Amino acid sequence: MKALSLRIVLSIVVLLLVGNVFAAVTGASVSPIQRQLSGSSNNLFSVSWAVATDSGRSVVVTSSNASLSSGATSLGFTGIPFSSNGVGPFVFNESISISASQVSSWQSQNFNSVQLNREFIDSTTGTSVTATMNLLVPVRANFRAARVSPTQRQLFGAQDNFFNANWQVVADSGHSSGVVSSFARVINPANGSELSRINESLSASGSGPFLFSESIGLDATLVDVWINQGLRRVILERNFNDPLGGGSTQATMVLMLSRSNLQAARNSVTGGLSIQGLRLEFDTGNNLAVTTMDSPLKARLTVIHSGSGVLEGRWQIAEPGSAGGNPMYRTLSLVRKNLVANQRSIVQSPELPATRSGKYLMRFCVSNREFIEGAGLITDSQCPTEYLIVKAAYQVQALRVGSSSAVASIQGLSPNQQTVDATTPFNWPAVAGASSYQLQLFALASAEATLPSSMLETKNLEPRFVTGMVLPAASTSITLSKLVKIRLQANQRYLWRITAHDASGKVIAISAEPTFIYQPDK
Amino acid sequence: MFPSVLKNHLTIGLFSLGSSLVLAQGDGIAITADQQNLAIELSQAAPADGQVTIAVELDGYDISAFSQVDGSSLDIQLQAPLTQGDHSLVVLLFLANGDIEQLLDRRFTVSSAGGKTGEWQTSASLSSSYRMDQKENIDYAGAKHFSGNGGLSVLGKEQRGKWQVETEVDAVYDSVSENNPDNDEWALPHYRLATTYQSDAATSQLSLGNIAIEREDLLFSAFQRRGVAASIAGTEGNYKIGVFSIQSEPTTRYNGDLWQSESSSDGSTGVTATIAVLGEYLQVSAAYLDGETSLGGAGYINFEDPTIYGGDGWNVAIDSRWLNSSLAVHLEYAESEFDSDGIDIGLEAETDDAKQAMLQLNSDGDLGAGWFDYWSGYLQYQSIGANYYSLGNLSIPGDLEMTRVFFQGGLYGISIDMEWSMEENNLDNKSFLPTQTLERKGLALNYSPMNIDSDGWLWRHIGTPSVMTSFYRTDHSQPDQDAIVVGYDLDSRNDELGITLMFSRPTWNWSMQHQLIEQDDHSNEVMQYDYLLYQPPSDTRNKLIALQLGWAPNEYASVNLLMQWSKQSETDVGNDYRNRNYGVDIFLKIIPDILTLMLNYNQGVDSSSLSQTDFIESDFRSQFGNAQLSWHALQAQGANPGIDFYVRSSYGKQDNRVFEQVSEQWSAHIGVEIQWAAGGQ
Repeated sequence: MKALSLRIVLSIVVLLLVGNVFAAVTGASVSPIQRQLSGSSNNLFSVSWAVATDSGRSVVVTSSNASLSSGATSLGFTGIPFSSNGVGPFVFNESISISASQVSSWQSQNFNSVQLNREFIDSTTGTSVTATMNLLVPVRANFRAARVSPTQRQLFGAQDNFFNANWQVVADSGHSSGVVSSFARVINPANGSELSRINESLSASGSGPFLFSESIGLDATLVDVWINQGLRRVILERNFNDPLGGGSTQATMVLMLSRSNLQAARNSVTGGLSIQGLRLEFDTGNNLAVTTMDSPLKARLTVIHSGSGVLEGRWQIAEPGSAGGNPMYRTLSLVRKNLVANQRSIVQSPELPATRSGKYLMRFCVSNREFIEGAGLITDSQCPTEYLIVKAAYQVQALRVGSSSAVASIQGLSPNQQTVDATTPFNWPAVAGASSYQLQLFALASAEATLPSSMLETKNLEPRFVTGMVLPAASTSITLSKLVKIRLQANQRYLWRITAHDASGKVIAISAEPTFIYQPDK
Repeated sequence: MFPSVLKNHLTIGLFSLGSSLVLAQGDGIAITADQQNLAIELSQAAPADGQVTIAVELDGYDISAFSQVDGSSLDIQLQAPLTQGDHSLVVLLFLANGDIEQLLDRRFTVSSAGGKTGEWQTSASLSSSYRMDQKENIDYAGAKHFSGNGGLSVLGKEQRGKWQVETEVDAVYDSVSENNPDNDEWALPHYRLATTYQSDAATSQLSLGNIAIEREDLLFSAFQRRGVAASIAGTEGNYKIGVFSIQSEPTTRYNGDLWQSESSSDGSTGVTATIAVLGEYLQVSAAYLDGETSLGGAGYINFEDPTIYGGDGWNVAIDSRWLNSSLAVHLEYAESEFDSDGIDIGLEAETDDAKQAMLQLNSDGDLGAGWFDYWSGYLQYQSIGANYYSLGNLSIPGDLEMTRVFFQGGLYGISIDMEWSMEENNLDNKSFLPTQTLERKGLALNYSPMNIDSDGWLWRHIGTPSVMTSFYRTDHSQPDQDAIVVGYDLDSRNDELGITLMFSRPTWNWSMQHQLIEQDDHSNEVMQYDYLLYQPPSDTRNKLIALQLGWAPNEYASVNLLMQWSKQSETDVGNDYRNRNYGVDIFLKIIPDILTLMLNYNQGVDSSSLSQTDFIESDFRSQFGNAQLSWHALQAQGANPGIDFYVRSSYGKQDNRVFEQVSEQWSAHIGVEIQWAAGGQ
């Protein structure tokens, strides 16, 4: 028993002695132990390796390149060889470079993480230790789409240009690493070359959708240079990237170039509609008018535009009482009008309300989505494009000269939409206070020839007075007189109306204009 | 209720508003008269034959009911006074055998004693209100509670011998205007002062205020500005020459710019001349215009464009009418030297020209209407240079060559419009511009059935019908090879279809409208160096349906209802955008001439449905309403004013449901309004 105990003690002593003579590496570690890789840019980072030994005796520690692996799959080598001798522990520092394309490759192989491994060998004893760093491979963002509003904008060489661009980016539901766009650039559409760069970085974190509102300024000189190069259309482009995963998407806005606002309508650069100007006017030639309650107005909107397309908009009105410092506009009617590419189009307003006296405000709002700056952020859905609103006003007077009240309407006339012969009676209801009536007949004549340069709109037929009859107050039915009949042409279509007059000759009531076809031999 | 087509176009004046004693002067015939009674001595006695009918026509009106012929004496006793000025009088005999003899065809003038006549009309209103309460918001808080608003219209005309003076003034006052809530604001939308001297040979006129250059040609179009003008015209209509100096931009200012602008870059001067060389067979006209302007003024959208444009231009035109105006020819040439990219900016002023030719035919003259009720048509050619501009027609389409044919006619209740046009741009064949062509053709038919029994079973219930239909097709394209040069393609077809059904009864009417606009894009994407330069837009379909109802059972009440549904679809990508608008207007005389109620309400729904559901869709709701209860405390009588007291309120709410943003405001006012109108001679 004693002999056995002695052998054990001797063995331990020998082992201790040998061990002291042949000191060995005992362990290795790395710092940091984990790192998030980026898929959008190259990865360059520092790694610090530490190797521990079991005695104060000098050893030789070596390590060839670090290896990359994912599970059992070897992914290659990186880093630099290390070698050092002396008394441990040892610390080795290095910079590791992993390209974005390398990460992209791993993303393609659906690796969630990659290991950076180093084996350190004690060359004197042949023992080795290993340390592993975990590299997290980001999920590549799948941006579904990006868009910008407005989708087009006019730039002028005669003035500095400022406008807003509102970008919107959407990504898959799993995306959480945000989005970044380092710059916008203006591209020559003829060859794709970059004309200018706007170094304004946009970024946001989270999962989206991402909204960016950007104010852009392009000075006149720059635009003028592009125009002088023969360009009439350039592209504003922004690339949006996942700052981690490396996915990207882009949105583009068409910038149309013109030397001036005046010339812009003639520089039709695409088939798309682009509005260069709006003008709203009454017969006064400006945007203000005075009318009476029985004389409702219409306003005329002139749209100066290039290209063609559907004009979307609405006529709005703010009534007296809401037309103060902060008017409340209500929609009179929606407008959907197809504008042909002839640079100037006319839109007539509906008949404007004039049922009460006071000041009415009116406006026309263009609501085409392609012109809206910040489609998702608008608060006034009725007039979403502030720079495409044109306004007017009109004052309604309760009385017009010579009338103490509005002129009444005579209804229930016959014939209407019928053929009449020489004996057909024309009937209307009696009007209280009438001293006499006038029966008036009109032909639907072609409008007076208008010169073609002013063919701004389809001309309405201009009713032309043909003949009439003055009738006593007792009359409410009459056949056409011989005199009237000789003024009419057979088989022609006519309008007729009745006006009632008081003793002073003032019109106190008026009818609408029913139609008939005159067939004396019916 | 029928849609009125006349009220804004034609007013027939026969009777005067006043009744002052006047004299009538006939053209070589003996007429004694005041404004209501005329006694005329005919050159021959009318036969006292019961088979003969005598008809008297005054200014186109048969006034036989008020006329009596006794031998050679014609007595006319009207129920209302005649207007001052020229009148025509025709007396016809309808003989038993069907022959018609003319006893008299004369013109005479009704004027006041001493050759001095005058007429004036004025109307004014002034409303003062107090805002009792409101839902505050930042913008409204600063607005004054007391507010005033008024309008003034003055028309005056006085003639003394050969001199005539005319005055027209429209003015508006507002103490709480939208643009200037803290200060009283006056505006002058229209004023005109004119003096005219009429000699035997010519009429001369000097005008100040709103000057309308009444020409529609390459140099002028709907050009009405404030300024000063002088003209002289031959009495026979054989010539007219005018000069003018006006502001280039429309204005409504009252405290400046009354005739000349305070800005040196806002003025135009010009001259117009028309000479009838061979009557209507050959008329030569010419004009010259020079000045500067910005793209602004009252009624223009404010782009804050500081650019000043300017230059001069002239035109000369020949007009010729034949076949009693059934055939007309117009030839015109215009030239300008204009700085269209801004004076002292960019390029210098450039010279360019424009020309047009037009052949017009119509049924009004010797050609007659034929099978139609009426017809007219024209063939037009127009070429406007890329650098041709005119201050009087600033938005004239340019860099464009156009040929157009148009026909319009009416037949048995059907009116027909037909149009074909072809346009091409890039007249100078600039290599960096595509040459685009636009072809448009269309047909519009309106039909109002005749001879239907409006009281028949069906029409009594749904109303007397009429229908309007139209179809237009537009093709817009450029050569394929231009795409790579300019970086985009163009090849689209646009179809527009419209149908409107209208039904009317004396006290109610309703209509349905359906409008469909489809854009079919055939352009191709443009790639260069693997870079996508152009991506074709989606095809679109734009549909608008409207329903309108109107009911006016009597003069005391009316209700109007309008509903509109609009849907635009980007058919390639599956995005839909919807807009709905519902509105109702109610007018009610609760106690006739005493108490009136007016109400209106609108609701709007605007939403989108996107195939990319992650994009933020829109969902807006809006409501607006107004109400006013008026007590007509004092009815206007003659020149005495009327007084109304009223309570009015407005409500507005906009709800952006996606972003959960609600904006709501309302206000209630009490006020009084004085109305006054007077006139006289």
